[in-house]
Amino acid sequence: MNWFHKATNEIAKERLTFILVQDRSQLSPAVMEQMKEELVAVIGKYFDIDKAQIQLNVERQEGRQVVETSIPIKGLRHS
Amino acid sequence: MGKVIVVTSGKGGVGKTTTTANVGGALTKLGKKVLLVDMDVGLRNLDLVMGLENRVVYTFMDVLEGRCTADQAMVKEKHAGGALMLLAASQLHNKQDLDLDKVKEAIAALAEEFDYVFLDSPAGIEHGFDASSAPAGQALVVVTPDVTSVRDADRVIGLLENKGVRDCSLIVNKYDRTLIERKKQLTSDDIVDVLGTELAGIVPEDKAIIDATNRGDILVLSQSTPAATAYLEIAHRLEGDETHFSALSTGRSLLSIFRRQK
Repeated sequence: MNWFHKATNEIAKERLTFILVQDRSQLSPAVMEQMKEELVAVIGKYFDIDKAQIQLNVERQEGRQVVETSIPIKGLRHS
Repeated sequence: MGKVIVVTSGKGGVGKTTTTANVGGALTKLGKKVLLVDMDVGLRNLDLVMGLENRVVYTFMDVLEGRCTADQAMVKEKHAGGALMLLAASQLHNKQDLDLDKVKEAIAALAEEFDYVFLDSPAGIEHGFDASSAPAGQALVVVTPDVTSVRDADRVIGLLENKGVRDCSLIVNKYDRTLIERKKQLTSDDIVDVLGTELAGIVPEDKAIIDATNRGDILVLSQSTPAATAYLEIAHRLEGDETHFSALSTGRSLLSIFRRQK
């Protein structure tokens, strides 16, 4: 991400989106990482996943907090 | 039974008190009877914004502690013909002195006499905020297009949800279209997107607000400027009418369309 050329309103939105996930979940970045690792361990048993692309969001939808994760699959695990 | 609405923000200085006075004032223009309650015990300002600082004899705290009746404590706004009343906050007490149960009971009783009761919350998320949101069925969260204000608004919305106040909507204040066009300010869409909360209004940056506050007049009751138009739109939206957001429109043409519709 190149913050030098980016409009500052976009930077503001990105920073907010990032910090609000932490604020809403009330989890520290370390605990957040740990949760990602655990998710990788479970989902990774069944799918070949792209660990670098995992996204975790805490969003507000119709007055409720919703945890959303996006875990891209590279392929199926063949057992 | 009237609607009880808390006006809050988390962050200070975003315009809660000005918003309370003007949204309340705008509703009287639609024929509604409105009570504004200053909940900022120890740091009261709503009386000053409304130009009523010399008329306050009793405060909401006096009502809660039985030193006077609500009718004795309420002060009439000068231009709304008795449709807009103020209950001032005590300067001699602390926020901790607000008894939540008594506040709820008193506000519920007052809501019988008015179409709208607005509770102007203090900044912060402590006892004053608790006391302001406890009686409310609905919340207006005032936010400016800054990362700090949006973050605090998010926290406040979360806390309101936990308290069961699920009807939250946003008032984006001090909206500056010049900065938006230069991509230097969060847009209202950005803010709605990030906070996942619907919009009640967008109030443009408007120097006339400063003049009105200096004089102790409520803008929407004394002038027709872009911000005054925005406050009227919020009042319409609270009443369930569909209106557009004039602060988003370019040029004067759309603004004049709205004015014709009235």
